[in-house]
Amino acid sequence: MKKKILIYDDDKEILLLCKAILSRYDFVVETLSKCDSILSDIKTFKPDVILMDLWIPQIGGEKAIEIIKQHESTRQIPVIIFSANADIKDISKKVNAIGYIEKPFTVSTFIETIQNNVG
Amino acid sequence: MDKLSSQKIEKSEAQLRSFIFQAPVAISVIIGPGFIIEIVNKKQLELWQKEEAEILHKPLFTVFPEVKSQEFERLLTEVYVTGVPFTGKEIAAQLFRNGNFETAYFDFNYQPMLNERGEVEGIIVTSYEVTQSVVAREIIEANDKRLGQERKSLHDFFTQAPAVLAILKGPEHVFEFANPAYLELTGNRDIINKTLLEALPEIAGQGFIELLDNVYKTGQTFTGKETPVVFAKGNGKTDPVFMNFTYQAFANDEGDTEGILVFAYDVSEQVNARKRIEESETAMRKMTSYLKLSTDSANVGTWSLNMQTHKVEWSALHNKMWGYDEHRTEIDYEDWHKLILPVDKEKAFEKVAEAKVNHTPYQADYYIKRANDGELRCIRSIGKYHYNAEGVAETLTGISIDITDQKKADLQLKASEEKYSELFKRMDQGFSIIEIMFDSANKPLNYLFIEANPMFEKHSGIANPVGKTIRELVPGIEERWIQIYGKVALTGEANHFIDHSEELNRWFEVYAFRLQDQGNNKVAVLFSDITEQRKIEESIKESEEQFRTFANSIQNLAWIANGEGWIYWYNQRWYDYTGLTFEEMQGWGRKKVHHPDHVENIVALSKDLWKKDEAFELTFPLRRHDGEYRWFLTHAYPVKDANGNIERWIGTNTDIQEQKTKEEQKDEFISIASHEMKTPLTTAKGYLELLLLLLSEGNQTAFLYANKANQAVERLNSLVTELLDVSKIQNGKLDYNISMFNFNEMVDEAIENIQLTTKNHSLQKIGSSVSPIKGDKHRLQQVMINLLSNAVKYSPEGEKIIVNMEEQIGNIQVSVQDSGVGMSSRHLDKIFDRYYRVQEHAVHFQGLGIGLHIAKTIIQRHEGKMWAESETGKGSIFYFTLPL
Repeated sequence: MKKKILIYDDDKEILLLCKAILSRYDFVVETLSKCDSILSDIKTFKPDVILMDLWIPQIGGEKAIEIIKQHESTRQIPVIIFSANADIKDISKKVNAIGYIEKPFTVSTFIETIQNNVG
Repeated sequence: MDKLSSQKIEKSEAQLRSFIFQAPVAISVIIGPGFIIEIVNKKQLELWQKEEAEILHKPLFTVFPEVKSQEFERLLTEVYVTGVPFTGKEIAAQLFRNGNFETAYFDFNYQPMLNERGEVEGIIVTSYEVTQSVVAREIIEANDKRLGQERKSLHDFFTQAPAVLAILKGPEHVFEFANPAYLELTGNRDIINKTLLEALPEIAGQGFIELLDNVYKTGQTFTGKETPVVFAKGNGKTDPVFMNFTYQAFANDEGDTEGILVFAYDVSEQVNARKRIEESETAMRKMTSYLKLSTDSANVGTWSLNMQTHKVEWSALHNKMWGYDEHRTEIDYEDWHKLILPVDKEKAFEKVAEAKVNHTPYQADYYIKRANDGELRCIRSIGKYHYNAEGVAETLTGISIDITDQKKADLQLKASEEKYSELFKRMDQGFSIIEIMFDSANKPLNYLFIEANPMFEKHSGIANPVGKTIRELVPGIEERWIQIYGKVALTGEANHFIDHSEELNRWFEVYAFRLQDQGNNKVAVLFSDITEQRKIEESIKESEEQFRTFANSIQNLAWIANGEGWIYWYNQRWYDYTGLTFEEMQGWGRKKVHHPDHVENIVALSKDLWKKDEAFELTFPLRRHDGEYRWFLTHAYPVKDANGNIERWIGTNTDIQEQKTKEEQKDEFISIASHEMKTPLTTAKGYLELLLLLLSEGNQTAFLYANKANQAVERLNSLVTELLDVSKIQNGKLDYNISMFNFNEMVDEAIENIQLTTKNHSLQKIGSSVSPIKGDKHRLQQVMINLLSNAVKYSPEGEKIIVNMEEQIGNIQVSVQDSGVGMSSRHLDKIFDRYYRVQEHAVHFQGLGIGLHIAKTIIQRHEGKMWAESETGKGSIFYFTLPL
């Protein structure tokens, strides 16, 4: 069964790029540009991995991950953070993310990080 | 009388005559009521300056007509008529000697000479001239008087300050006020608001209450001098203190007496000292009179020594002189000589021995320790040997005169003269005594210099003033000087003042006070020339004035602090800006103007900075009068004294709020812009990579182009990242991830990475480090990569790039050396500044001018140092150190 990846980013171009890459590697991709209703998003889509941008309306990526980690049903889903922020490594530790992808990324790093954490 | 005895008499008469003639005391015998000179000895002839033949057998007052009018004729007549001897001490006689009339002083004795019937036949006159010692003593007395006045003046001078003060109110004399000196004097009791009797009960019966009552009643001032008063101080002492005091009534507006002002000073010490002096003077006088009583007329003791038997014969006076009983007859040689001080005895014996050989009289002075009281007396001994027909010395006869007083007088004169001149010479200040000349209306007209010390000329510029008036010496002297001194003389109030004389072109500090016991016209003036001081003070004042004007007119806030950072002056701008007053700003008051978030940090920072002696800069916000905080850049410069110690700090605060705002806006813009740029960069890069994946198998040319585009995007990305870092540094938000890591390995990795980007350069590493480093590995690698890529960039011709690594004490030092274009030394300080670019290179080399700024910031955050050496055309070396 194909693995499902849920990507949050407010930039439509980035979302399109990610879809273009990931579909070449047989992933099912769902993209969203807002994270305000993250729990229902997860319930609907049932992702194997979540890729979360940090600068995203309205509540922001960090807050959205916090919500995921607070709920029993969503806690175990691996979350990878996804940002141009230089402090991404520290933030990923702080929010208990399983990994991080720094923008801009190389295609190989992107794929490797997701494949390693898809479970 | 048999022949033998008459011979004996004859012989003894001859001996006596010889003795009389040789005696150092003037002796003459005058006979009958006509006072015929019958016998006169050598000394007498010397004294009179006559030859024996001129005067012998002639009436005394024919020979000396000038003496007739003096007392002597009356005295001699009295002795002749009454038969009572007369002794005179230090009697002045006018003698015609050495071609002049001279005053000579004599101790003399008129001894009546009786015949067998008990009638006065003649008078033996012995006299001893004491002119020298009288004159000496007179000089001492005059000097003593002068010294006494001097002492008095100095005493007045040093006790000018009123010492003991109290205010008594009402008829019961209730203490309203007493100064500390008063309280101390009375034993620190609680006296305020008590009546005098309650407060100091012991005063009753000492007469003061009565005095106060009288002053209160009459309103007339009472002045007491050296009045003894006993205070029960509670320390058991009942010695009186001596006070000079004034009771002065003061009145209310209606003129009724309200109370009494007590103004006193404790003069006990002076009084006691004077009493001691008086006591000792009295004792001395007693002693002198006793001695006088106990000596005979001429103070001459006679003696004779038989050379064969060593038998000694002394006159009664000689006994007394030696401190033996007057009537003692058994005196032996030992009694005589044991009292003479050994040192003196030796010298005297030498003279005696010499006299014996030469057949001459001797004279020797020696000290004896008197037998009865052990007192040292100086004795002049004069004597002569008498020889028998065979020339053998048979007797030694002579006289002894006590010359102690004369000697003492000589010494005292010398000592007092020295003391007096020392006092004046030693004074550093100018000192003079002037006599004020008044007109009939008591208006001071001029003054005369009576005395001036050696320093007078140095301080006043006036040479040899004594005996001249000020108007003679300085014709244009300002009138007020004469008036000031005149006032001191008239009122007796001492005056201390600083004034200037145009005429002398000097400034003076003067202390003038009246010399009280010398009439009301003598003033002592103690003064110093302070022109230099004044000049310095004025030039300081002037330059300070200029500085202030300048400091108040500049746009910056300015201040001056002492060496410890305690600010004691602010310019007007400061007060205008802060809206605070000088009082509010005093000392550490400037804390009021700091933002609560910054104040602690600023205090801590500046505490360290004050301690260093280097100029420093700080930026922090300051509170404006309307409550708004604006950012200021503070510069502080230390001002050092000649020894290199910091005397004060001069500081300015420049308003940089606008700059700051602009910079913040710029940084924020850069931060947002660069972050925003990353998104399209990411997209472009992603698609390019996807493109590369598609192209890698087929179209070589398209692949090459896509690869180039990808590299450009990579480069663009690193520029955007740098910009982001800079804006973070500015906001203090650059994060560090501190861990222990293998530094050597990190450097190797960086070298490898950069080596991959260039084929023209060969990167070499010399040395290595074994110690791990604590720090942010990623950031430090960023530094290495920056230095290495700069080295590559600025040596376009390609060359060796050498990385040198060495461990020092507590440090590791890394340097990166290239052989490229280098730069001139004037850039070296600035290349680490933000956005700084070496102009000559800007055309040829790309960059934002922020890489080194970031690198240095990172190294500094690791408590390391970073610097560079370079030479145009020869390449550069960049160094950094990190603590181990």
